[in-house]
Amino acid sequence: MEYRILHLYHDLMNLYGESGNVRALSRHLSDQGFTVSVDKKSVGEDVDFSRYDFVYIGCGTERNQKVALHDLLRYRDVIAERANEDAVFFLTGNAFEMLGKSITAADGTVYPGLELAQFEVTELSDKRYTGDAVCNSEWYAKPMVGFINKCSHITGVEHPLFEMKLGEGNAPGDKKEGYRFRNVFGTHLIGPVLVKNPHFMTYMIKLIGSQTADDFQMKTVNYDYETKAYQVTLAELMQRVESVN
Amino acid sequence: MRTFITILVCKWLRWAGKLLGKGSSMPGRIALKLCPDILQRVKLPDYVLAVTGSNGKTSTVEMMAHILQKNGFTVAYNREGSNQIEGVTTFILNDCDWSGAVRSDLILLESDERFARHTFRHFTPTHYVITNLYRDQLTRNGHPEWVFDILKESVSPNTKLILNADDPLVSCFGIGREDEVVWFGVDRLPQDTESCDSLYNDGAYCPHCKAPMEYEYYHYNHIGGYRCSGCGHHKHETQFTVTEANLEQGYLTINGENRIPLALRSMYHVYNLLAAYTVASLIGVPGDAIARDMGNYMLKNGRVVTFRVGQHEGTLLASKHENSISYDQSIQLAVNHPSDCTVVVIVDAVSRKYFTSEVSWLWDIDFEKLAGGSIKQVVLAGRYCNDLMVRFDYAGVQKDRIRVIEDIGQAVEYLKDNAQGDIFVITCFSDKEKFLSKVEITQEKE
Repeated sequence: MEYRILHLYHDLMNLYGESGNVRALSRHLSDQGFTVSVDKKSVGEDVDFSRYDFVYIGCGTERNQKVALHDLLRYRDVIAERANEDAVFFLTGNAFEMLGKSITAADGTVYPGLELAQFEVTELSDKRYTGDAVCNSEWYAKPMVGFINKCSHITGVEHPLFEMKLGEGNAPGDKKEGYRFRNVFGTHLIGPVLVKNPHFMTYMIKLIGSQTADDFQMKTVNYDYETKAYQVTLAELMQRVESVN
Repeated sequence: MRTFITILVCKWLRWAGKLLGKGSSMPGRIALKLCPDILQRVKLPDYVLAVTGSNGKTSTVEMMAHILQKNGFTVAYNREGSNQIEGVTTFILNDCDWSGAVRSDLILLESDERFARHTFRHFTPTHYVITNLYRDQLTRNGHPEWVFDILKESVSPNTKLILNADDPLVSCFGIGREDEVVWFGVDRLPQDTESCDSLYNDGAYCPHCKAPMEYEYYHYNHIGGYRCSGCGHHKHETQFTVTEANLEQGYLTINGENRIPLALRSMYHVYNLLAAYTVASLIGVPGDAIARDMGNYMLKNGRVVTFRVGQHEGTLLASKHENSISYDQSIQLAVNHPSDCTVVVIVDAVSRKYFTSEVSWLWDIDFEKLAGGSIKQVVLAGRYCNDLMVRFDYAGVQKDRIRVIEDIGQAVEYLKDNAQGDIFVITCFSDKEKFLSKVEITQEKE
């Protein structure tokens, strides 16, 4: 089974060790018997989205995000097409903001987005939300752990990804976080989210497996350290959740 | 009269606070309440020198103070590292005479990148050094460009900017005032690389216009000789230049004439020393006098500590958690070690000042360099040892060479009997005492 991953804007949108997501995903897929290839592409390079099963984009500075968005707009239609064909897109940090209708920068400039979703993003000049995060999802029993590092409010997300227990949601007063459409996953959790959340990795592998074979059975592989690391962080953060509530 | 009373109160509170072992920010806070513009009222000396940037502030300030004092200047500086406005107010008022004039010839300030804009509303430094902008404590700082924008608010047109020409983002502070900036930097060195050698490259795109950047050489990470393919933003010609740096033999030469032996053989130290040299020169200290004072200078801030465990000699390299370049520099020191060694990495508390469980930064550190060579063994310890192990699993270090021991005491016991060769411990200021308290310290080298 061949599986083709595209790591887009690998040298531009990579602020928080996010290459870890692609490294871990390809390792875990290989463990399941997939033959994995990873293409790294960036600004100005031609991308044939139909060639890829999985697209990853990480978090960037606000300025880098605008460069990426400007580059990505030429693929607006093909991205929508691939999303509707159930291709997997995983966008962490402010990468997922590009999927909405527009991003209004702190200086008032409005940047049109990919319009896959109808949400709107407003950046702030003086306020940054940074903090550890714990969140739940409807589609998996275990909580997610991670970190939010952003300076924007996102309004009008019709299908959020997570419900925050600790940390900022899409906008002030909104506990919902991220965005989901079919197999498009967007979250403001930053960094190697798939490494920090082994159950989320499992969810992804099962999703990918089911796309390639109807009778896909996940092999049992020992990922003890991932699991222990998750448990330690979850325990630390749950103490935090309890002290906040 | 108000100035006099405020100074009196501040001095008295500082005196009383010292007796009680209290910190240095409270007297300044009260002084600012009594007289919010007290720092505009006092008479500052002719030289007010400030240093900011992600890494190297404390070391640079310490070396500047050393050189200037050796050459007859009296210096007031925040050696306690209290670099927010309250602490700064305390030490400045403490140095004032009763007429409200600072007694010392110079004020020397280490300034936090995020607080400098508040401090420099009260007064303007005559000389302002910006060392570098790296990914540093991003859980608080956001990212380097975010810090750049905040820091920019602290730069007055009346200050003399002293900038690291080799850092493309720091160089942006000089845009529009290139002629008045004093640039310092390191010439191309034999050990430089032509491609970026680290896991990410924050110099890949021009920080000014975002076109792809072209590098002639990299000293380390994104520090080197660069030119933007779009707007032409480039490494400026430097007035103060390391023309030669031989880390193997342990010396550097500044401006082709002053050779200085190095107590610590890292590029970090080279830049900090160069920054200190630059400022001292601008104040009028002759180059040969600086070279004499800096020769084999040992820093006193505890960055490098040597110790013994069982039969093994060890070196602890205090690095900064949440700062991959600082780790990369320490890793390089271990990799350069000429004989077999064991490397210990400890992440127990990510920060000593605030709570976080964020460890994404481990994926920005070039642990891949520890695979092979003279590194025979790796020990991972502390609360986040599992996260470290996951990261190392991807770094290509053979699994049977790695030991994961959460408890730092048990890790020390393990090292006694099982370490191979010399030991290098890489950890943060927040965690280093947890290790050092369990071993025999031989020398506080720096």
